[in-house]
Amino acid sequence: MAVYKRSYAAYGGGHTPVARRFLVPARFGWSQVFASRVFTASYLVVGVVPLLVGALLIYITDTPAVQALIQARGLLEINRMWFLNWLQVQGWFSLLLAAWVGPTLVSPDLTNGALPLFLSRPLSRTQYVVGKSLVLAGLISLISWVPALVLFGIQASLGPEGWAAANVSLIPAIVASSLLWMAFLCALSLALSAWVRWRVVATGLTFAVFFLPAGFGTAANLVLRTSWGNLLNLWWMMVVVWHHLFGLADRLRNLPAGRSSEPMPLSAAILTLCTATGFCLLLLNKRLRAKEVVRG
Amino acid sequence: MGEATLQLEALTVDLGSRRILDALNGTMKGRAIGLLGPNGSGKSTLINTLLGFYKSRRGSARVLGCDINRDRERIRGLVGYMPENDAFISGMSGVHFVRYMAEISGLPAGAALERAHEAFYYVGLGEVRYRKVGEYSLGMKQLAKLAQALVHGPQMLILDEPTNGLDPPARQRMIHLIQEVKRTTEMRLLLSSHLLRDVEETCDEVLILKQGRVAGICDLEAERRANRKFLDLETVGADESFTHRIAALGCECAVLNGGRMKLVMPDSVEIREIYRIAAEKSVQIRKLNYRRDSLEDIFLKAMHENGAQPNAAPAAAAAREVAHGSL
Repeated sequence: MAVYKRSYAAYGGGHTPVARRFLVPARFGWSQVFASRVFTASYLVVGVVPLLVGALLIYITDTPAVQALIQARGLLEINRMWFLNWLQVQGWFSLLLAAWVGPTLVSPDLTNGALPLFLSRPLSRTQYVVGKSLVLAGLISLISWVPALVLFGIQASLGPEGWAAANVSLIPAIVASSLLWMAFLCALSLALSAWVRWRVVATGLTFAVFFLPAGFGTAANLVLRTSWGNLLNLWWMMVVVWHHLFGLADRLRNLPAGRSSEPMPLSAAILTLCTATGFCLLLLNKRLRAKEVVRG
Repeated sequence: MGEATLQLEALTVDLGSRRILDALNGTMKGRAIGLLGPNGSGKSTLINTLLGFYKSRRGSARVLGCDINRDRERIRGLVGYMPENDAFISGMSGVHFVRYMAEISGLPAGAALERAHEAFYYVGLGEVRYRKVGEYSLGMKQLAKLAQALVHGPQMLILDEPTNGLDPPARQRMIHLIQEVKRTTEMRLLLSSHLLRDVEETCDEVLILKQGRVAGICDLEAERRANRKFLDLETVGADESFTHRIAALGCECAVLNGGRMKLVMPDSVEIREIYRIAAEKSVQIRKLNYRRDSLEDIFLKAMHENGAQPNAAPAAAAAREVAHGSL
């Protein structure tokens, strides 16, 4: 029907499967974030530049002729540590992304009461949350585990024979590390976006969640001569988990936050991260309701 | 139209420690059902419960034959909902917003875009469909809400106070649109309002709520038909022969002082026959009135019939407020 016809016709076409409906908020979310040219340009920088730098380093390391040319023989070794460091850099970029994109995910739907419109349709709250999380998860994936696997592939093809077979366990480590970080950032971003209406404040709070408790934790470590204050340092907890996933737990002692005493047990790190994520989901659950019930 | 539009089966809803809906019962088969009641009577809570936003404490309800506790997702696929308060995404253009809602309802992207344009033209916002919804006036936002409720072609439209905050021309436009939806589509309507006139102009069955209870269910169509039977006449020169002729038509006739008469007419008798007999008998009809049993009467009666309860005085005040505030 032509759009200029001012008459109503019932819809007689097909419907998309209900199980795939969560992809709609995700798609609209992506189109919205990429509508900003500044964001698109910044995203390309944090996505492409580290990949190119990583690929270049691998090429230099695996090509003796180039090493000889630039006199950098033996300067770098592409190993588990190298991949973990690369992923940690991207982890910080992921945090920046979460602080930028996160506040725009749920807040606009809550500010002007659009949430009942979503939930009065065949879309559950879980699907809504998954759809919104996918916006951030997709963006983070493209700058974390996806390029990391590309780098792994480049190294496997350019590196010494047998390198890929010896380091095949890096693949699940890369994917699992990124997924954990992604899940935590998504839960945090959605919770903050649901509770804080103002974007600047939500962005500030995203950073504050990492830096303020970490500061208190460090102070507690110094005053109480312990390392348990690190439980408040969420980034460090994630680093602990990543080191275990990469099979590099021994190296934790050499890192600044692990120097003071014994390294943080893996179980404590996992418990802290699970508690923080659970708290975020609890906040989200409390806020994401079609209608608020006034108790009384 | 076999199944009931709305069926309430001892529906009870508590919010916190308060009972908001108390054992609602009733079956409504009309195409357009009005939910009427003073503010705080439970109209919006009933709608929210039907949509699955609130859980029932006891009992259940059926929307188009679907149980609200078991077939929640199915109900949500069948209805289009226009909430009472603001409901939009401010950064989006109108057509983008409605397309988004259509896709959430399950329309494929292409069809959703096409129908979003159509819906905007249908509600009369075609020219402003690329403007951001946040920049719309209140009346335009109401129409945009109607567009998003219609866009996916629901079988039932749930409108919660659709004329809230609208100025008279905007209200009239909204009422016309609702009437047009009712006239030109197969869609059923559930319209909640505290304005009697809105319900009277658009609905053919009314559920009256008072303090979370059903105060009355009224088939407006039947009432309208019944209204035709009652006539008040003021005549000059009417004598017994005139009265006999009228009675011979099958009318019940009561003669009062001053040439005034009250008639109850059977369905088969048309008013022009009264005029014809009056002309034959040289009787002047100075005044002829249908005795209108209006929705206001029905509403006030429903409120007062429940007036024996302890809170009868506030209820009556609320009834007066509703009735006089709108009519």
